[in-house]
Amino acid sequence: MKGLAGFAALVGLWELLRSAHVLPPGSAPASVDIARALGNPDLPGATAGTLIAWAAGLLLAASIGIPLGVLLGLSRWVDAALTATVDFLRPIPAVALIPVAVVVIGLGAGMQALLVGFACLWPLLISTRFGVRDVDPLLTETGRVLGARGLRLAATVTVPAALPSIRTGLRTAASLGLVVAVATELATGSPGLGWFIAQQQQAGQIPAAYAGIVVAGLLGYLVHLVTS
Amino acid sequence: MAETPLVRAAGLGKSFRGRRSTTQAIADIGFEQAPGEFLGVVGPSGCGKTTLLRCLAGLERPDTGTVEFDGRPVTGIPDAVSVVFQDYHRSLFPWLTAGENVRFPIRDRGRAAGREQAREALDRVGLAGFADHHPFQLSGGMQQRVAIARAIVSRPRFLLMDEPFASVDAQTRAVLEQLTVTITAELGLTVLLITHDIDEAILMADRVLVLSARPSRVLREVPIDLDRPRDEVETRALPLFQDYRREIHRVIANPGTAD
Ligand SMILES: Nc1ncnc2c1ncn2[C@@H]1O[C@H](COP(=O)(O)OP(=O)(O)O)[C@@H](O)[C@H]1O
Ligand SMILES: [Mg+2]
Repeated sequence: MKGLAGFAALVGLWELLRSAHVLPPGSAPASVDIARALGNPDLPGATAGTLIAWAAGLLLAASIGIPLGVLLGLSRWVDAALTATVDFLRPIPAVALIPVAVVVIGLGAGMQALLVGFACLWPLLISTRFGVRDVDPLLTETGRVLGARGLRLAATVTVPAALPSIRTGLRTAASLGLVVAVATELATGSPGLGWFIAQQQQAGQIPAAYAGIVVAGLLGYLVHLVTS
Repeated sequence: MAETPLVRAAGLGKSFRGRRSTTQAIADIGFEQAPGEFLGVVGPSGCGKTTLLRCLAGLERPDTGTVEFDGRPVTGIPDAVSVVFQDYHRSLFPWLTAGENVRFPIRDRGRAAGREQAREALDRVGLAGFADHHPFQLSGGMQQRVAIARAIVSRPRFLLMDEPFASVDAQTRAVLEQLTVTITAELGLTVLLITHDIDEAILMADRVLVLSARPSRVLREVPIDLDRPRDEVETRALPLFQDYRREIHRVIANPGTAD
């Protein structure tokens, strides 16, 4: 309810700024027009495009980042061997890789998923690693005394104990992944919300461009709801 | 001892090397424990009791000496050995319910059988209706009951307990002491109970091992010839109980004059 009130206040502020000519009416369409543009027939397809790239990238990142993070957390040896590489790759913004990715992999959904995956990998990897390292040794010792060793111990004790941390990483990765998915579409024209927004803007369909932005925001909000 | 011992420790020594200094926790500990015997181990705090338990459970390697379980040297954690740790609230798996915690050691025994045995173990500790509760929903005493149920569900032969009742209130403590004695006797378990509470050791054990301050050695072994079942209030009032109590206190206070 509070969220809804906040949203209504935002719409009110938008209309207020428009009528006070703080926002130029030409580039800031009325909220009714934006709402009407939400019915644009291309919008569902664009939304689906973004969602698919996002989900594929996140899945890719999780399937590499979580097991690798567990390994880094468990083995000091592997951790020492990979830390320098991780610390070098991690600060590279995924969007900075777009031009390279286009040249090397070419345009397409695969390239987009890879970029999203690259961005999502680091928060997942790092928080899994720290989560595993922070597991109370008494818990793993208890697991060992109760007969769990090796992989089994990791699966039945270490990972469940580190789950709160892993979930935090997943939440960060999910939000970041959406940003990278939309940015990639804007820059490369991969089908999705980013491309929809750019197209509508170029065609002078300003309300539709805003409708795309609203849907992107809504997706971000949904992702936040689902992961927390 | 007429029977062949189930547990035998000889010449145990253990030090911890720190960055600046080395702490010698155990100087020289040796003892034997017969099958079914309830052994109490008392000693001042910091004297190496937990370290001793960890060596016996195969969680820590002693620097010197040997531990034998059932005639075989202990190198890893023997299957038939179970432990109730001091910090039970940290050793229960918080993401599992009480029932799932208890089922953890027997997850290989099949769903139906596992569920049945876990139910029975929870029954024994008086938590029949609490299988679906998570640890955080239970009181300290109830959490400790879950830890005990989990430790006995796989029917171990040797149960190690590290100051299991140190952080519950006196009332709960007396109840849990009785419960532990009853259950372990019913199951014919061999128990080694570590405590810093001399009364608790006398009330529960068949024999009490008195350790010195760090680095610890065995100051005395005191066989406890009190009839069972031992009602807490009645037993405390017995002259014999008072004698044991006095003897152990004196040994700890004046280790030099021991023996
Ligand atoms: N892992 C360890 N590293 C360094 N010192 C330790 C370690 N474990 C125990 N100690 C030290 O060994 C001594 C005995 O500890 P502990 O066995 O826990 O005693 P108790 O259980 O009798 O209170 C203490 O001085 C403690 O600080
Ligand atoms: Mg201790």
